[in-house]
Amino acid sequence: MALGLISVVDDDPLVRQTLPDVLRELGFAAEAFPSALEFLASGRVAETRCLLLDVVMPGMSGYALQHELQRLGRRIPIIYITGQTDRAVRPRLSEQGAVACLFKPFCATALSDALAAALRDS
Amino acid sequence: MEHAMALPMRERQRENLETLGRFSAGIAHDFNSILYAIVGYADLLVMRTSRGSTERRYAENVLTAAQRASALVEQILAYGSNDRAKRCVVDLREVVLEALEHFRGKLPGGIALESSIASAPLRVLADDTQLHQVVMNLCTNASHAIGERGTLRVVLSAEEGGRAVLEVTDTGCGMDAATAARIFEPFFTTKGTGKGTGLGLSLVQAIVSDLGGSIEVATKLGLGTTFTIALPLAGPRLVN
Repeated sequence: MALGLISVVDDDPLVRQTLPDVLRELGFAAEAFPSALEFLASGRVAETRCLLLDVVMPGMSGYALQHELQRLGRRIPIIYITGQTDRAVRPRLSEQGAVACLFKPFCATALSDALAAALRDS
Repeated sequence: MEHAMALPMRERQRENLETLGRFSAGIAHDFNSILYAIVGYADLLVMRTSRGSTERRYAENVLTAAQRASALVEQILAYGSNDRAKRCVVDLREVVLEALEHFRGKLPGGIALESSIASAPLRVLADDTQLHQVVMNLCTNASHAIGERGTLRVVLSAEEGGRAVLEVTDTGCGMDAATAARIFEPFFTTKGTGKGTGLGLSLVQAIVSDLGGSIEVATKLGLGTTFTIALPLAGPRLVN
């Protein structure tokens, strides 16, 4: 628990299983949510130190969740995790205030670097 | 060199490629998530096993395989991205220099990389990711054609008539006429299983044609091959 809670929002069950396992191995507490709404309703928003957020999801998208969190005054650093391969989305995501964008499949080192940057900034 | 030939755009080939592109874009998002599960758990095994152990080697091999799968998805996807390409004024000189820098690190020790690059910017209207792919694909093929020892030469210059010309020459194995005639066909490859997808050159051709450019190949069996790409320079009104 020393490193704080990292929340994962991704509609793919494989990612919701894998990513928290990797996060725990890196020393973080982790919880995964299948949708933006379930994250918002979970009661874990306040203690989330960093959000790993899928971009394309049915229902509320990653962008929409980011805006909603801003509207609610929650300043959680966001790292986008996407299965899209278009590298051109990266500058667009950072313009929107994301700390980083990781393209699946990313390695644990890339994840760890992005988290270090996100937690340093917050 | 012999067999110099101009290669016109092939409409049917282009249609195949667009279908493949649309299809692959549709599954890529899910596929990358599946690959993430493979990479994630292989990473965990790497962390949990000791350096030099057989288990560590097995886990690292899973990672290597997943990385290859990922590179393959990206290459197939590049196919369908022609119509989604974001065009802007790009300095081809900068793209080539960056790609060569990137490529130099991957080149086997016995291959010398020589380059002669225009000193002034060469602005073309294009998508820089695609241009990067063009340069990387041509250099990768040249390196494969050379094998262990030889010279790869890249020349970028401005031609009279307002075109930028990129030449990639290798001192590799060259091609016979029958092979040279088929190199732009999707899935045609002379490389062994796992070494080539047969998509590289057809992608290069599709990108270049799409930009209003031309691609030519001159080759001689046993002596080497030169690919020459010409792209129209962006008019002054398009620059800034």
